[in-house]
Amino acid sequence: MDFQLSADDRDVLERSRAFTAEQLYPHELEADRTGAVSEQVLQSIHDGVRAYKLNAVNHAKEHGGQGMSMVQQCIVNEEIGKATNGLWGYVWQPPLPLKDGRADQIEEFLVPGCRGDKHFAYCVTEEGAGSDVSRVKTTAVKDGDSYVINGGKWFASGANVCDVTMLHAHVDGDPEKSAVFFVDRDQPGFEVARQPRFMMGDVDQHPELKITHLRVHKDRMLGSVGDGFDLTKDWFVEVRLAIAARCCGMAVRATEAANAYVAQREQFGQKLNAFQGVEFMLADMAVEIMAAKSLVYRVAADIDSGIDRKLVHAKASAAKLFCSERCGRVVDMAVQLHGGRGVSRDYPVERLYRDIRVERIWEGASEIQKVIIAGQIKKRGLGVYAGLE
Amino acid sequence: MDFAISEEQQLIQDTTRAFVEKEMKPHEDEIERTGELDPDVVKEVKAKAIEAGLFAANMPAEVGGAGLDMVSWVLFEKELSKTNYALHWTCVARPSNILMACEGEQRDRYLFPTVRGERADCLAMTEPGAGSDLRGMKMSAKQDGNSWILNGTKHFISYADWADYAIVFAATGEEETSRGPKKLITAFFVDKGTPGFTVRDGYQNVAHRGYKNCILEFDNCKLGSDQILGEVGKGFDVANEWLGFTRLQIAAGCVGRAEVALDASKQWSVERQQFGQQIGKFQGVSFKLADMAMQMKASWLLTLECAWKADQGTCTDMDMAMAKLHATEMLQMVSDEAIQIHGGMGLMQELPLERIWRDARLERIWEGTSEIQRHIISRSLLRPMGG
Repeated sequence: MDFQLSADDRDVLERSRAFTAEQLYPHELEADRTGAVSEQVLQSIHDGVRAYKLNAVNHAKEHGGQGMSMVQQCIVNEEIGKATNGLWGYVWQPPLPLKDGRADQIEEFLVPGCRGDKHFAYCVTEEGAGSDVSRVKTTAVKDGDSYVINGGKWFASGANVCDVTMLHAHVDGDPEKSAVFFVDRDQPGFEVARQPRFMMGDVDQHPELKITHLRVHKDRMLGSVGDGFDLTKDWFVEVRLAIAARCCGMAVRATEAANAYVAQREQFGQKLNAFQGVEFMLADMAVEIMAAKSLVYRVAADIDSGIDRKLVHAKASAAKLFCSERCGRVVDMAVQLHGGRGVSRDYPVERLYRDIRVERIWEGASEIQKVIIAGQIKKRGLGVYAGLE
Repeated sequence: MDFAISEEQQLIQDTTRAFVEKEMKPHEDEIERTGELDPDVVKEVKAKAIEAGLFAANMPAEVGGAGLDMVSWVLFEKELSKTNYALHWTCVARPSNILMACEGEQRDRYLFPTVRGERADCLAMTEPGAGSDLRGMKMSAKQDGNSWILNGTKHFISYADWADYAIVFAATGEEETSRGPKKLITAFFVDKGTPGFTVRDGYQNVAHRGYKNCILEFDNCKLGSDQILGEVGKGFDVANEWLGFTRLQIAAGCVGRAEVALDASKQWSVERQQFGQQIGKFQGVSFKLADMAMQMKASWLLTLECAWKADQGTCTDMDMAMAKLHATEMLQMVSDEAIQIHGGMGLMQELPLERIWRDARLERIWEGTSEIQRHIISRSLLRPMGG
């Protein structure tokens, strides 16, 4: 067992930390006030991503990615996740299933995606289909060399601004024939119906899509008919671990701010951190963070050691559940330690508080992670979670 | 023991509920979207509230209020809380009870016009360095002949943007006590427009879109002694006599919003189908509903008991601390679970749940944080034991 960071890992950590402080933190207030950043700022963030070599950290070097280990990817996500208002979303990580495309699809989508010349959205959720993906109603029907797709998507994060949407649909409406299609943003039949507003101050919108007689050539399918579920599941697994790492970053930033605040704030003749009520909160927060980070990096190390894909799925759920729940609580305590300042929008803890709530919901609510975990226990035994081997 | 409410109390609840539905809810979304109150809307709704007899309902009948008993008042507060806070607080104002300490012509300048809705008050205690520890305040008032000169800064002052005057607490000296020197505090009326008094926009908040708290600055602000509320050096006595019940108001408001969140969750649990059945049929969802309903009921009974005791004159500081602490923590849990049951929909601003959740966060902080309430409760338990 070796928990030491390598020289390479350390370099990744330092780059990610410097990038976040220099390129993301300064734009948080603008993003919170206006729901966006200017074109100029976006351009400079993109330049920064390239300069710090943080583009496509989740893809192989041969495709233009950084070829990072999973531990290193988690380091990056923890650090950029400290930035509020979803600014971490500007550090592009093209969806993992892109690597399973045909050679020509890798050239057309993944390679420019790694460079940052093409940005992607991945859309699964619908009005009637949340975690129950089998209820997806978006239907593709073969017509000559093409598929004609009808339906709609909810919470289609980034689909309003990306170049290409990866659309989960069912051929002939049959969940057994699930498929993922590439759709260009300006393609006729693909439109943003509505852009609801949300609690978190994300720069990314989460629009509702309307899909009407959208014609997609059969070559623009990722994999084959029937592969949709597995591809989407791979995407979920990757994103869940990224969420777990980001949650750790949020909790660390909130706790650092709270720790600094209670060390200087005086009430009733002493520093706040001299009160036991405050000390105990800080102790709980520190231990929660330690446990959450231990879990994330343990699962990441397991993945790097080449464990079976099915076990990756099982363990990523545990990490997502634990980190989103516990780090959410840590951020809540950080708000409490700030008192009235904690609810002011000028302070990062207030923004972290609104931002972290969604982590317990998207890419599978906590309850769904529990369903997955309970299923894994039945199927493979408790050792998947409780064993050391 | 009788847990029934009277016909009259029922009527107050129904009237308030109907007013909220008809006159205030239609304006909610606009305020949540823009973060601003439209002055024309405020004028219109306020006039209707005065006509309906709901304005200043907390004030005694002999000064022009509705003279509600405490049980009626918490019923009234519970219903009002179901709409946007900035809107109901501005249009259906509950002037600070501390105005009852007005003497002589102060009653004509401050008390009566405020109860009639012609003037609006705000209360200025908190400072950047003095939160729950009010004795730590830096704001001072120095006597100069027949006048007083105020210097200092207040922050987090609710409604100073709408108010015509502020009731400001300032240190006017020190007294020796067994636990060392303590500041003597005096309350002053300060009218907007008084030279040396400025109000600046404060911070945007996680909670209550449209509500603003302000920063008040006093730079050699000169006041006559007729601006003193109560007696010199007795500011805390005035505050303690009149201000304790704001914690009950918070408790009742939290129960009201929990009701909204629970109602929505019940509805969604029977409507939403996933994995072939209503989500309410999954124990993961139904057990949440059971906990939400149980905690809400406990908060409400605690609040009602406090109100009943207040009517008997037996409500203690500990009672109110318990009601405030339980209800605010309860609302956090209930609104959080309501969002969880709704999934991604719960975070959309077009449902009331995300705002109830955001609003709940503030409740655990203002009017004494949960930790301060725990302090009050534990001191009340231990002091009689010699602790």
